[in-house]
Amino acid sequence: MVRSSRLALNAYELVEEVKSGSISVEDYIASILERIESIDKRINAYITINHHALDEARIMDKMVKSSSSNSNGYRSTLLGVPLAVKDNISTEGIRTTCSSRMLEDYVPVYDATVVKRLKGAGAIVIGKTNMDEFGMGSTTEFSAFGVTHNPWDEERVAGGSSGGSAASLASCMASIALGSDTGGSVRCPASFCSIYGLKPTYGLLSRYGLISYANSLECIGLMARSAVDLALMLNAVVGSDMQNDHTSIDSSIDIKSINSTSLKGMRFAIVREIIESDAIDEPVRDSMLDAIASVEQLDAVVEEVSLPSLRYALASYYTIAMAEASSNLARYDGIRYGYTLQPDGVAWNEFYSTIRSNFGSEVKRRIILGTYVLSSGYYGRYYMKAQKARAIIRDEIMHVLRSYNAIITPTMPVLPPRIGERISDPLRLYTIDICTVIANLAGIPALSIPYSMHNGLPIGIQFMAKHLDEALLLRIAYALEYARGSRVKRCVL
Amino acid sequence: MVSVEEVRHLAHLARIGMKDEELRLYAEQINEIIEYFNMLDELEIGNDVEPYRMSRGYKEMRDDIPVAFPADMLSNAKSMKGRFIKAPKMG
Repeated sequence: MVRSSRLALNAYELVEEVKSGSISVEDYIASILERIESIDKRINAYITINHHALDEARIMDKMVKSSSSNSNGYRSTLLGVPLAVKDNISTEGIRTTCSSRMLEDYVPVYDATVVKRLKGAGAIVIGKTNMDEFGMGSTTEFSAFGVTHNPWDEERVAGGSSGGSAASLASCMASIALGSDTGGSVRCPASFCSIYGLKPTYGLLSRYGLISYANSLECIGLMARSAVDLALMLNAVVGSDMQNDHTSIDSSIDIKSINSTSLKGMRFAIVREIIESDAIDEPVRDSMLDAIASVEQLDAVVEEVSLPSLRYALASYYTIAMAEASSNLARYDGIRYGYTLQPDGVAWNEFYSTIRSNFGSEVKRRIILGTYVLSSGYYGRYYMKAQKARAIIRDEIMHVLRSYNAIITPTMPVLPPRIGERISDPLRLYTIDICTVIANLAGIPALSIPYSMHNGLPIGIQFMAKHLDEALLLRIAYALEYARGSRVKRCVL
Repeated sequence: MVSVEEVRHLAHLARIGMKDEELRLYAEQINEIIEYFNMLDELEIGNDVEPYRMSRGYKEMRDDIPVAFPADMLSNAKSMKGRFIKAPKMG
C-alpha cells in the first residue's frame, strides 16, 4: 500500500515514480481501490468498478521490470495511471450505462478510440463514473444511480454532466479522467470541483465509442489535476480515426512549449455582456477580476469586447441540442440492447412506448421539446433559426479571436448549488450554462482552470481560444498554475 | 401555447409512454422553455445568413464493401430465438 498523501500525485509525477521503481503499479491501484471502497459511499462518483484493474496493474509491473533489464526503457507516457471514464464512453467488457435505466445492464463489446489510446499509453481504467443521464444536465442530479456529492462540500453538487469524473479526481479516487462536453459538461464539474477540464476543438478527438446525445456539439473532454497531465493525455488521444470521419486532424502538443511562466505578448478579451450580467454571483465576479489582474501581472494585455448576440446563445444551444437528442435517442427500442420487455403478445407501439417510459425526467423533457422544434410548422421558426443564430454567434466569436489569443470568462456564473436547490426548475438550471455553451456552438477549444476558493467552494476561470489552439490554453494553465502555487488546491484527502 | 393534448401527441410521436400527471407537468415546463426560445424571434437575421453547418473534410473513404461484425455484437440482445432476435408484432 502507498501512503494516502501519495494518491494526490499528479499523473506525470506518478509515472516517474513507477518508472524509477519507487512505486509499484499494483500497490498504487490497490490503494486507489481501497480509497474508493472507504469514501465513495459518500461521494458516489463511480457507477461500476473495473474488477480487472489489479490484474492489469500486475501486468504493467511485469512490463516495467522486464524493460528495465534491457536497453529500451518503457516509454508509455501514462504508465500505471488510474483513469476514471465517464459512463457514456464505451469500455469493452465493462458495463456502460449513461446513468440511465435504459442501459443499466449494457456491456459494450469494444473500447472507444480514446479509451483504447489511453490504455495504450499505460493508463488503467479504474471504473465508470456517474453523470446526468445521457449527458443531459449540469449537476449530476439527473442520474438513475443517485446524485454525486461535491468532495469540497458534500451537501453541494459536483456539477455535471461529468460530475463523477470531476469528483473522482477531486477526492483522489483517480489521477486522470475522461468526460464529455456538449454545452459545458466537462468544464462545469471541473470548475465546481477545482480541477482542470478541457473541451477540445470539435473534431480533434475521435467520438467513436461515445454514446451520442447531440453530435454537432459534443466532444470527449479531458480532466486532470495539472496542466502537464492534460498535455500528456491530449497527446495520447489525438490523431485521426478511420472509425470517426469528423476526426481528420493529426497534431500533438510540444510539452516543452507550454512550459513557460510568462504570458508576455498575449492579448486576452473579456466580454462586456458577461462582466456586467446580473447572472454572475459576486464571489465569481471577484474571482474573475482577480484572474484578470493575475494574467496582467504575467504581462498579458486584457481588453474589453462586446458579443452582442450572446443573449441568444442559450436559446440557440438548447434548441439544437434537444433536436439532436430527440433524433439520437430514437434508437432505444429495447430490441438489440438495453431495457426491454418480453415481446410476445405486445403490440409494437405499446412495446416501444412502455420501454421508453423508463427514460428519466430530463431526458423525456428534452426528447419532447426536440420533437416539437423539429415538427412540421415549427422547424423554420425554431430549429432553422437556432442554426442561423449559431452561425451569427460563431462569426462574432471568430471576429474577436482574430484580434485576441483568448477570451476569459468565469466557467460557471454561480458557486456549486446545494443538492436539490435547482432541480425542480429546468429553465433556471439551463441558464447556468451561459458561459460554456458558446465554445460548443463555435466548435472552439475551451479550458476551465481551477482558480480560487470562496468559503471553501471552488471557482474556475474559463479560457477559450481559436480552433486547434489547445497548446495556447495549456500554456496559460501552466503559467497560472505556477503563479498561483499552493493557493489553489485540486483535491481533498 | 402548447396544450396538454399537444404534449400527449408529441409523446406519442416520440413513443414515450406518459401518465396524465406527467403530461400536465411537462406542458407547464415546456411552455416556459418555449417562451424562452421565442427570444430567437428578436434576433435580426439578414437574408445572407446561412445556417451553421459543420465543414466535413473527408480524407479518404473506405470501400463500400460489407464487413462481418464480431459475433459478440449481439451479446446484449435479450430475446434471441436461434439466430433471430424476437421483436413485437407490427401493426
